[in-house]
This record gives sequence, C-alpha cells and structure tokens, in this order.
Amino acid sequence: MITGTGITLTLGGKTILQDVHMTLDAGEILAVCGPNGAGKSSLLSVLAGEHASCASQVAYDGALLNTLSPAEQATRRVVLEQSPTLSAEFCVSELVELGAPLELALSDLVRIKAMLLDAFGLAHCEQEAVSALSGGQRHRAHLARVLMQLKANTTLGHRCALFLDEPTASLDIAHQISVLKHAKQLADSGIAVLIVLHDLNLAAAFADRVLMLKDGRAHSDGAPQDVLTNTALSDVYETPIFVQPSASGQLVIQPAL
Amino acid sequence: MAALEQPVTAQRMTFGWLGVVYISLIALLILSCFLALTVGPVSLSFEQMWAAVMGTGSRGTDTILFDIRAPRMVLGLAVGASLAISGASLQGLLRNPLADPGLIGITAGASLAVVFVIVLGDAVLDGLPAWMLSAILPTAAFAGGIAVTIVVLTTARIGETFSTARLILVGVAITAIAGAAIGLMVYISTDQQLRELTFWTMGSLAKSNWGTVLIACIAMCLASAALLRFQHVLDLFQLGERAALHAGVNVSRVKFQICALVAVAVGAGVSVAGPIGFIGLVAPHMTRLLVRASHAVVLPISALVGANLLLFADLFVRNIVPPSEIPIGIATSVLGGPFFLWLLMRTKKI
Repeated sequence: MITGTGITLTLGGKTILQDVHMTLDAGEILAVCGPNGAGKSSLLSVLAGEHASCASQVAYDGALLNTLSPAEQATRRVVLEQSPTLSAEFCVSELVELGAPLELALSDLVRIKAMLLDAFGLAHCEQEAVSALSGGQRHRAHLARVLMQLKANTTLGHRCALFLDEPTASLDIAHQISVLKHAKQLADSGIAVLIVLHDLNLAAAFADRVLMLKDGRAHSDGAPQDVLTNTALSDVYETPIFVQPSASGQLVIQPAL
Repeated sequence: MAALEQPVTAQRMTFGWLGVVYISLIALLILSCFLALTVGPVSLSFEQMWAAVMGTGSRGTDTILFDIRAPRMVLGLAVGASLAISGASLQGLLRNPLADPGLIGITAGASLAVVFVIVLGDAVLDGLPAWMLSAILPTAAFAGGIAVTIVVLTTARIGETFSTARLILVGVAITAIAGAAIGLMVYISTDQQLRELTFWTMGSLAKSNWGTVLIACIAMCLASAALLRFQHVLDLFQLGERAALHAGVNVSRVKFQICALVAVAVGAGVSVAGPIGFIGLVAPHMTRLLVRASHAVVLPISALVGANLLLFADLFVRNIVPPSEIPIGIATSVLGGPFFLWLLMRTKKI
C-alpha cells in the first residue's frame, strides 16, 4: 500500500500541491482526475520519488521514500510517462527489453516479452525501429516496456505498483479501452494501479476510486458515483456538467448545454 | 516525423553481422599496428622486425622499433580507444549526438594549464632537473583538465540535480574563457615557446617515451574499462532522465561518475598526446552506421574504430612529408570534418 501524507510540493516559489492525503491499495485502480494545472501529473511524480523535498511524505508499505534507493524504488513501482521519449535507434524488441532489470533470468525475459508484444499487437513489428512506428504503436511499445519492468518485479518477488500518466491521450478509442482493460486485469491480479486520466467517462468506467484534484488540493476522494456528481464536477471544472447513469448502470458524463 | 521520410526498416543485425564487424575491425587494427611499427622515414622489413623481436636485430633497428615506434603505437591505441569510448559515453549520457569530450571543458583546461607553464614557467622551472621538466607538462595537462572538469561539474550542479543543458552551457563558457587566456598567452610568447605551443594546441603522438606512455595508458585503460560497465545505464538514459530514474538509475550520481571517468581518460590522453580533436565525435558515429544503438555494442566497437582511426591518422602525418611531421590534430580534423559533414547530409534526423 502506498500512502501520501500531507503532500506539499513547491516549485520555484509556486505551490503545486498542498496538503494532499491519499492512499493507493493493492488490487484497486485509482483514477486521479481534475482540470488542467490541478497537479495530477505532479502528484504522480511525487509518488514516483522524483522530488527529494517530498520524499518524507510518501511511504511504500510503511517505508518512507527517502529511505529507499532509486534501485529499490524501481522494484516497488513502475511509471509510464505522459510523453515517453527515446533518443537512440532501438527496435521495439530492444525497447521492451530495456524494462527488464539485469537480475531477471533470460528465459523469463523472453517469455514475458513475447507475451507483452502479443498483448499489445506489436509482435509483427518486433524488429522495426521505434522511430518508424506510428504514435499509437510507439506509446504501446513504451507501455510494454513499463509492464516488462512490472512483470519482472513480480516474477522476482517484489510487490510493485503501476503508475500511468495519461495513458490514453495518444490512442484511438479501441486502444484506449484495451489499455484500460489491461490495467483492470493487472488490478484484479493484485497490483495497485494509479492512472492520471482526463477522460471522466473512462474514469467512471474503469476506476474503483477517483481522487479529484483542484488547484493542488484534494477536492474529493471516493467511489466514482460519489465523486463524479453534477454538483461536484460543475464546481471543480467551473462549467455546467451533467452526469447520468446509462441503462447499464454506467455513468455518462457530458457537458450540460 | 523525419524518420518516416527515410523508413528505417531496421536491418536485422544478427550475431553474424556483429561478428563480421568485430573480426574486420580487429584485423584492421592488427594491420594498422603492423604498419605503425614498420612504415616510417626508416622502413623496416618484416624480417628486420622479427629479428628485433627475437633479440638478434641491429642496435639501430631495436631503438626505432622498441623506443620510438612501439610506445607511439601503444599510445595511439590507448588514446584512440579511450577518446572514442569517452565520446560515445558522453553522447549517450547527454542524449546529444554532438557531444564530445571537448564539450565539458576538459580539453580546454588541459591546454590552458600547459600553455601557462610553457609561457610563464621559465623563470620558475629553470633550476629543475631534466627528468622533472619532462614530467611537468603532462602533469600540468592532467591537473588542468581535471580541475576544469571539477569547476564545470560543480557549477552545473544545482542542489541535488544536475542539468544537462547547464552542463553543456557551462562547458561552452569555460572553453571560451580558456580560449581567451590561451590566445593571450600565445600573444605574449616567444618564437621558441610558440613552437612548443603548437604541439599542445594540435596534439601529436611524437613525444612518447615508455615512462609517460605507460602511466597515461594505465589511467586511460582503467577509466575506459569503468565506462564500459555503464552500458546498461546509458541505454536507459536514452529514455530520458525521468524514465531512467523510474528504471532505478541514480541519475545525478551516474552523470557525475561518467563525467569524472571521461575527465580521467581524456585528461591522461591529453597529458601525453595533446588535445586530439574529432576522434571522440566521429568514431561513435561511424560505429552507429555499422551496428545497432545498444551501448553494449556501441562502446567496444567505438573503441576499435577510434584506435584504428588514430593509428591511421598518425601513419598519415608521419609519412606525408618525412622526416617532418604535421600535427595529428590537423589530420584528424581533415579526415573527420568532411566525414562528419557527409554524415549530416546523409541523415535528416538531427
């Protein structure tokens, strides 16, 4: 379990996050939502250990971040950035292998890599240069790299969380759903999953819990149907927003025109 | 995306291809070592060399082979290989294809220290014994290179973070300042000092004797071998510093370590051979034309390419107008500059 206690982040004299308390449990998907500039990605980077000034405000299974080395942190959480980059001419297969820690046995690496390439529809372009892929394929290749690290960690016996920063932003709707279904499967297998998500409908459909941020503070935290309400959303986004359960019981969020 | 204009359907570089590259480069290196020993103002035949190795050669042949050409060849191998590994490591670390050991100020620092000693040191150094005089310039070069690198590294560091852009900019600024100081020293130097300065501003393998060569080579080999151990980390750096951190790399510490190792490798090289340009820049690029981008392959192949380049460049400068020598820095720039331009015209990605 990951806990954030009074997370306060100040960068260049500007307060980005103020006194945010949150938890992330094993086996759940927590969606972090909120308007642009609310501090969603900053919260993720604090939890991922990127800000030394906040390292005493975050604990992984009771161990404070400032007591864990970068290598130890890498066994406890994996992160997919919003816009992953790659400067060298690696092929898809090499990119995915980058996720594997050196301790992983070669047979495990080969097995996990084949499984991931297959799951993300990349098996046919395994030997292609990453720079030659389409934007969506490239993003899925990076996701496969991050999940390689995750699966390697669980194979090596570490309890590891998954952080995804806007994983659906550059994908078409079919791939958005497929990525979130994959996250759901991982959560069902006991992984703690944190997703920064702009799309409230996807959050409503896939998240077990929603943390709504506004101006660097936690506005509300709870089950989707409790957090994603007409009044709360209209307040957070300062725009009239209308929420209605569909026939199947799923929440549908749309602007009230 | 520029990559789409030039579809890089990455050729599958199998072990077979990699093996061919390794074997060809090693064969080429053996050839260049052989030529470095036999070709020169006094040509040696294979028989003469064999006789010298077996201890039955003439005194003149022995001197040429063992005291002049062999240390020069060893120095060429070590300097070429360590410059290339340093260049490849810095390019990987900074994710900047233009990075070169000169970029972080080390070459400028070494040259500045030496120029200071040559131009202003006469008064102080006159009384010293000869052996000390011969060691003082290499020591000054090494100390100057390391000192400037420390200044650059500490200036580029803000708190615990270590910004790449800042590192490059500080390196550029320090190089400019050192360049101005060197210019001033050259302006006030005498004719005799000016000659000596040429060696230290353009580089040469000519001043090699076993004593200095061995000390410098040990430093270069140790630092280069240590750099080879960073191959996986350098691969992770290609994902950006954030992602490298997420993968468990202690980003600031690794940057500091790699820069320090490069400073030792290049500083040791400059201390005996002067600043030799372009090898650190061109060798890794030539390597990436031959093999895939993984640093486990790029670093060792770059070393082989760099050693070959430097030995052939030295062969060229020794034999084009014998018995005089043009500085090797001119040869590496004459060969490296056009090659680099060709490389730039060819790729549309930078």
